[in-house]
Amino acid sequence: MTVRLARDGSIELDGVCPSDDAEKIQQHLIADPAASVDWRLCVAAHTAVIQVLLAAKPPLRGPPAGDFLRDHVAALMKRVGRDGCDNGAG
Amino acid sequence: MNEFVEQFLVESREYVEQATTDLLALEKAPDDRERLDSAFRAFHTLKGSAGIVDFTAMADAVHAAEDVLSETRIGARAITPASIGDCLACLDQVIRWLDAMAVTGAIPPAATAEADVIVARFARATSVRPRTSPKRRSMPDSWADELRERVGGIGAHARTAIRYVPQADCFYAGEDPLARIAALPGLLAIDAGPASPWPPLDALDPFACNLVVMALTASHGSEVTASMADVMSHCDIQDLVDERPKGGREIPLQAREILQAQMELLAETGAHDPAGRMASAGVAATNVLRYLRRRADADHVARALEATLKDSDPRVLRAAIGLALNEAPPAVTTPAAPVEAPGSARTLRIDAARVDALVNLTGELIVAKNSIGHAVKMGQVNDSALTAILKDRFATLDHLVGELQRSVLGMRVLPLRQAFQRLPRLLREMSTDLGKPARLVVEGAETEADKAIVEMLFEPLLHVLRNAMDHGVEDAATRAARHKASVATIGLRAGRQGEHVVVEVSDDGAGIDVARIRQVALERGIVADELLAGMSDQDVVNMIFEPGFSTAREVTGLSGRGVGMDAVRTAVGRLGGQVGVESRAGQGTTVRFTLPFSVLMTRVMVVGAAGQFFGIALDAVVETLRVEADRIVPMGATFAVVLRNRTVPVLALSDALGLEQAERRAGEATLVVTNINGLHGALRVDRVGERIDVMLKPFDGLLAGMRGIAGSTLLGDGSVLLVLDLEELFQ
Repeated sequence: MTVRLARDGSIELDGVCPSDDAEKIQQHLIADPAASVDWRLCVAAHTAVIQVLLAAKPPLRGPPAGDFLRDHVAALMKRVGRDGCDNGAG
Repeated sequence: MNEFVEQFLVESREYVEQATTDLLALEKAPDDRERLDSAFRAFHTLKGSAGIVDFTAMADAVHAAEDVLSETRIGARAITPASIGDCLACLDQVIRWLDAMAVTGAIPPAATAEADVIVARFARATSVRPRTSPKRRSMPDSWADELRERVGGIGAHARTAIRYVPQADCFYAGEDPLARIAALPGLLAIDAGPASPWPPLDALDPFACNLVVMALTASHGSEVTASMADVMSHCDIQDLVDERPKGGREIPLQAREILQAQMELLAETGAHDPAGRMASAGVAATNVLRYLRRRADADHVARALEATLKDSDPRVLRAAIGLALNEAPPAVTTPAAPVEAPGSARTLRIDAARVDALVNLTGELIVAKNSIGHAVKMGQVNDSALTAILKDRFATLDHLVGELQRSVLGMRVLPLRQAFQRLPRLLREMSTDLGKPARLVVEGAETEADKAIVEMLFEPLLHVLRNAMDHGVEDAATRAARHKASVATIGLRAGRQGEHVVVEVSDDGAGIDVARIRQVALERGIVADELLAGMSDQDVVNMIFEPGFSTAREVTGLSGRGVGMDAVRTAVGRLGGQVGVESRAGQGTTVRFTLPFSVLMTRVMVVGAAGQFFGIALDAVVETLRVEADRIVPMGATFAVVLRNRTVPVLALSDALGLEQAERRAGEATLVVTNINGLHGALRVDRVGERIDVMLKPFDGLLAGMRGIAGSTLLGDGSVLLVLDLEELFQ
């Protein structure tokens, strides 16, 4: 499973998340709009997954494991994301 | 190591060399616009290459230097020795990184901190450093400018901007737009936002793409176009740095291929969804032409697309694209290359290991050829017609193999420039450190020699150069008192002399202090009193190559940092070269390296001792002669013979190699007189045989340490011939 619901209610992304994960994340976030997404173990994610994160702007717990996510997508999330959330690249 | 990294290492070194040469030339002629442009291009390309392998630290460091040159180019600042020094320091750092990467294959961990030092160095030099470099922009659309602003400082490095609006159903077609962007060469930053405003989360279709993806890369537009080729109709690609020649009409190969593909697409009949096909081809072609800034053609194609869609006739569009293509003659894209000497463009980069494999194979072929020669000799006894044919064929084979060998060895040849390249700037450093103004005059840098020679030569040359600056060149006051030019001249000259390459380092300094060397030699007991008295000045000067002198550094001050002149001689000798020195008091010193042109090819003379055969490098042989055995007289622990009033030490080869010597014939002795680094010695052998060309194979493994043997080669009859290392034997 590349998408898990952690005990604290946060959504954990692990490994390489395929496009199907987009719908799962969307459902979790609809169920709990305050849930944060922990992508520290996420190596790569399909555009569909990133799209859901861009649209929902959940608080992110990072940095993510993958280079592209860490160097580029995290910066993008920071620009579009809510202030003060822990989604920095460092 | 990853192929990209390997390529990066090779190319970056070339650009560093190019930039170094340009900077040093600029220092002499600050108004040389061509050099400035060339240096700028080299830095710019270095930065781009660093981006391709994701080496951001290097890109940052090089960018700082590029900024300085860029400002100089637009006349915002003057080039100064200090700014050139900063740029050279930056290149030094790059070389250190490249060296580290060559070993580990990875970006050095300390690179970011080291890059900060370089950047800080430039920042100190520039009180006001504009954050965005004033690069020419040929009207990129506003989205590209906005994108650059949004992503911050890194945007200044960008060369190409991409805006990609994937089709809504692209996920179903297996397209992953961000993965495509992630794979772009030299990616600097990305941005993405909704194509139409985000609906509430529960209304969002997670499998419909509603994104506009944008990216900045440090790579060329053509590389980006290649990566985006199959989605070009959904892309806008902007070149942020206009580097193409103005008015250039040529279409790069990749763009041409895309345009041709659109024409083929339009030519297909009976295809499904012809309108969609035409629209897609038309938009793709328009975008390619816009990217190429061929606006008239792009507009023409766009109008043709409208007409085509209205009449459902693809021919109008095809004609328009064809027109754009035909107007532009096909051009081969030439990547920005370092300024090269004319005629050197047609080169191939070949792994040295492959050339070596070819060299080895040629060696084997020569052995096979020699064995046929041996067979011919054996057949001659019968004198049959077959022997005549064989002999004839052998002559042809001999000629062809000889040709092949020359060509193959030629592949290992490099210009000495590669060994010389770093010396001018190192001399500049020494000159500054020592406060002795000096200039380097280089001649014959294009002289070629075997790769091994060229690669070995740098260290010895550097050492000799340091000696020249440290001890040869006088301080300013002394030079003035001697009415010498205030700026010292160091000459570095190379040339081909027959089968040899001669490299000379000369200075116009004080020359070697012969009296002082005599004194030191005595003090250190390098030679006996009575011997020293009989030595000519030249012989005394030659003693600087003796091992004893390198350790006497503090006394003679003749050695620089690390290696002594004996190490120089050893390094040169290892590859079959010799080094000599000439000095004239008050006028200067010249150190001369005489090196073989090819390391692998040796002409040897075969000699016999104790029933075995050995090879001696013919270069070292002065003469062979027979003398009455009783002329060889014991002298201390060794033997000697007097030849033309000169005492020459005699070494019996069988004794030297520890071989069982059968009873020596009384009466005559066969001697091979050799000259090693100017010293004569005679080798007593049983017989002297033929002279042959051999490919010398140095020993490796256990045999490498064998004393007195330089290597081996195979003879025509299949036996192994050991080639002697005379220098070791006579030590």
